[in-house]
Amino acid sequence: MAINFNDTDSIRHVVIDGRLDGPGSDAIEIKFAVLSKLEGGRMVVDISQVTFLASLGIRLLVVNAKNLNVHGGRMVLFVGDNEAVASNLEATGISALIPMFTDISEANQAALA
Amino acid sequence: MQIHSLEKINIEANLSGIGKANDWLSGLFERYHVPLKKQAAIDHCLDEVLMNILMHGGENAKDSIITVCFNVKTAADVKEILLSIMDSGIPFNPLQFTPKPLPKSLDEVVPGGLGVGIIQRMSDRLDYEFEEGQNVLTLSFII
Repeated sequence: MAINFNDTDSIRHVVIDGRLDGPGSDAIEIKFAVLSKLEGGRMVVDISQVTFLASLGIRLLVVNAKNLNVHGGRMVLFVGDNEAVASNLEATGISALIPMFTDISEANQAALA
Repeated sequence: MQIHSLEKINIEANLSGIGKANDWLSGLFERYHVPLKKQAAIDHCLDEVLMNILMHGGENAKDSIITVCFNVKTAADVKEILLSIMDSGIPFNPLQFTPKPLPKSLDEVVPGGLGVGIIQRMSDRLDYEFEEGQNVLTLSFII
C-alpha cells in the first residue's frame, strides 16, 4: 500500500496504489489526512492503480473530500481504466458526490473549476 | 451427486489476522479454480465482514478468535462457494440491516455504513444465525 503526492499547477495530485482494504486504509489514513489539509486546495486523487477498494477505503475518500470541502477546497477522483474501482464507486453512489473521471485532463480541469 | 470440500482457518480479530485470512483465501482461489470476477467478490466480502467485526464487534470481539470456513459444493451443473464467518462479537444480523439512503451532497454524508450494502450486493445469498454465543454469517457465491 503506497500513497504519494506532487503539487503542480495549483493542484495536489495524490496517488494511491495497492489494496485499499482494511489494513491498507489503516496504513495510509494519517498521511492522507495530512495531505488533505489544504486551505482552499484542489486535489486530484489518482486511484487508477488501486487493486481493491473496500468500504473503509471509500470512507477515507469521503472523510478527506469533506474536510477539503469544509475548507473551501475540492477533491476529484481519477480512476483511469480501473473498472472494478469505478463500478464500486458508482454502486455505492460515491461517484455522484465526489466527481470521478477516467481522463486525467478532465480530472484536472474539474479540480480547478 | 454433490461433492463438498471444506477449508477452515482461525484468525485473531485484528489487522494482522485479516491479512492472514486474505493470504489463505488467495491460495484457495488457485486450488479451486475460482473465476477472477468471483474471486474479487469473495475477497471483498470477507474483508468487509472481518472489518465490521473489528470495528463494531465490541470488547468481546477484540483479539478473540474468528473462524472462517470456505466450503465448495459441486453438483452436476453448478458450483457454489459458501463462506462462513464465526465471531463472538455483539450479535449483528446483516439481513435486518437497511442501508442508509444516499445523501444528496458531500456535506450530508456521514461516513460509514457502506460495508453491509456491499456484502448484500456482491454475494448471491446471505444466511445468519446466532449460535452458542457466536454470530455465524454465511455468504453464498454461485460459480
